[in-house]
Amino acid sequence: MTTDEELSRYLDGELAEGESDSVRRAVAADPGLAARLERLRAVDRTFADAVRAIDAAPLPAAVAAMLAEPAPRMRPRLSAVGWRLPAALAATLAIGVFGGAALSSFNRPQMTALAAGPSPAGSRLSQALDTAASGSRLAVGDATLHALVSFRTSAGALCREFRFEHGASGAHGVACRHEGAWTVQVAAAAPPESEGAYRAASTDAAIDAFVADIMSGDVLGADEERAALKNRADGG
Amino acid sequence: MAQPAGALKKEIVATLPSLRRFAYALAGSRADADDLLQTTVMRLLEKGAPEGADLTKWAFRVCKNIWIDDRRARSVRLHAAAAGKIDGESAHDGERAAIGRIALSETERALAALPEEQRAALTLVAVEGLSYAEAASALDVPVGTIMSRIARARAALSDALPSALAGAPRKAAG
Repeated sequence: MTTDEELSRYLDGELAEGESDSVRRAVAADPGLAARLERLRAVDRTFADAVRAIDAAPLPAAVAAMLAEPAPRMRPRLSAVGWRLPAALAATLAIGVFGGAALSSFNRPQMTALAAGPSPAGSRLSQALDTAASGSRLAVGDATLHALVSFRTSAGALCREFRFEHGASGAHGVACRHEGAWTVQVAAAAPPESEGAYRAASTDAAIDAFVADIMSGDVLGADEERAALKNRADGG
Repeated sequence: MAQPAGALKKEIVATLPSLRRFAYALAGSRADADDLLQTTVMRLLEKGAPEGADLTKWAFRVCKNIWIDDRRARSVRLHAAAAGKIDGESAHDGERAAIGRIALSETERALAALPEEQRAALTLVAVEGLSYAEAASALDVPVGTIMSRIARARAALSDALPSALAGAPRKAAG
């Protein structure tokens, strides 16, 4: 007597060898049983098709965003944290305060009033921005650049969001490349990340808002980023 | 969880289609499935998987637990779903197109009528290819329970689905 449960286990390869052989023999000898087995197989196919129907639906944006490279952008809201960079850090970053040279498309007075400005070509920060893959950390002198994401503006300029850490001080900012030279668009003092944690600073929300504002399309994937960084002429 | 965030994310991305199907099988509607998927992914990103655990199987487990934890909040919607359908749309194509629109909605009704734990067990084994033991561990039930859930699910679907599906008898010969 072969039951539905045995046929089911047979379909799933969950019978012991001897049992499996006896089901096979019973199916071969009994057309009714063979038809039943075929019916259960067809049921499986129909079920699988129904479940796979969701494959074709676009992934929810929230899920895609959480899994976008390289880091989940889940961050606390802005609280009253000073926007001024410590002078020593600004010096390390080799950026001017209230520096001009902001690209016109980023001409946002409330943002450019932050520590922002051109980074001399060939400076260590520029070199790091030219080479560090998002998600990686690169030593810049005795400081560390942590590249977060790369993206493009609507004008096509290549921009990078980064963290910069030097001893106990740190910054979180965005730089964009124009004619081969990086300009820090916005930067704010932010405590260095604790080891391995992506969300720390309360300035993050403001930087996020800035990024969301100037970003066109999605953040660049690893391959797109590599290609964009290599092409020094790229970026507006 | 000594795993870097990037590597964890890659693993989650790789397992996402399976996880989403499982969420769909549990939740029964695309909207609820995607809500469940989102919560599950968020939890996985926060907590990762235990050292040495297979992320896919761990993700099924996390997903199932979230679904059960949320049961109370969802009870109102569940009642509505039980009275209705698994989902409005169907994205079937090709091979099974011959069954036609009417049969598809019968399929949806048949799926909706199936208890969610049976849908979950059948998905893990018949769609995702887990063994009974693996499914049992993901769903936190004995292997025997998986075995009977799957057999009951198939029998119920066989009864509920159009006979044209395979033109086969609806009851076991034995």
